[in-house]
Amino acid sequence: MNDPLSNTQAVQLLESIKQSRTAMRQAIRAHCGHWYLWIWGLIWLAMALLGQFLGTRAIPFMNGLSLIGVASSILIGFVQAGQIRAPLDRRFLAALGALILFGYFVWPVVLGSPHRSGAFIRLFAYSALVPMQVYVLAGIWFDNCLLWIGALISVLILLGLFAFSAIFWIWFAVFAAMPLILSGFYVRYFMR
Amino acid sequence: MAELDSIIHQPVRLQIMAALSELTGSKEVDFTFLRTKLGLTDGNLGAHLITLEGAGYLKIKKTFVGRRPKTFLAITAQGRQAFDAHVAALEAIIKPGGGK
Repeated sequence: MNDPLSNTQAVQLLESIKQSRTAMRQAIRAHCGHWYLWIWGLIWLAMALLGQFLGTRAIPFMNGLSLIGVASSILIGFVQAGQIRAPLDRRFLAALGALILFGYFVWPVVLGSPHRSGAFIRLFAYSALVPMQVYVLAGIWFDNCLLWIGALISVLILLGLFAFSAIFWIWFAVFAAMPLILSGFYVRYFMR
Repeated sequence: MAELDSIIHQPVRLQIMAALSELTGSKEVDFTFLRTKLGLTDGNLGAHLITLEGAGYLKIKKTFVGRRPKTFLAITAQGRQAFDAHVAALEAIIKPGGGK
C-alpha cells in the first residue's frame, strides 16, 4: 500500500472489524445448539411430571412428546443449516447412527416391555441416557462442552435411578431436565 | 512488520473478511444470511466476494437446499492468514510511533 494510514483511520478500521466480528459471533452463538437443549429440557420436565402423576399411563403422552421433540429438532436443524453450517462429517454420522440404532432398537428386546412392573423407570432412565451418550460422543468428536453436559447429566440420572429411586421423577425433573435447560443458557450466552 | 493488504483494505471486503474470520473449522455461511448481517446489497456483496475468491481468500460453494439454490461462503487458510496479517498491520499503526 502506497498511502500510509493515519492513526485515526487505523482505529476506525479496527473498530469496523470489531463490529463485523461481533455481529458474526452473535449469529454463530445463535446456532450453537441451545434450542435443542431448551426444547428437550422442557420435554423432560413435562415427562417427569407425567411420570410422577400418571405412572405407566403416561407412556403414550411421553411418546407423543418425544415425537414433538424429534420433529422440532429436525425443523431447527433444517432452518439453521441453511444459514451457518459445517460440512457433514460422515464418520460422525455413522458413529451417531450406530449409537442410536443400538440404543433405541436393541433396548426393548434386551430390557423388556416398559409396561412390566418395575421396568418403567429403568427404561425411561435408559432412554434418557442414550441421547446423553450422543452428547458425550459429539463432545469428544468436536471437542466442545457437550462432553461435560452429557457426562454430568448421565451421572445424575444414574444416581437418581440407583440411590433415589423412590423420588426418581422429582429427581429427574430437578437434576436432569433443569440442568439440560441451564446448559442451553450456558451454550447460548457463555460458550465460546 | 506485517503490511496492509490492498485487497482486504477496501472497507466492505474488510467487513466480509472480519465476519468470515469468526467461522471456526470448516464452517460455511449462507450468502443471504451474511448479506443481512452486514447490511449489504446482493450486488455489492457479490462483487466483493468475486474479488476475494480471485485472491484465494474465500471459497464460494453453490448448492441446492431442496429445490432452492444456495450459496455458501467460507474463509480459506490463505484468507485467514492474510486477514490476520492485515489486522496486525493496522494494530501496528496505532501503537505509539506506528502511524502518521
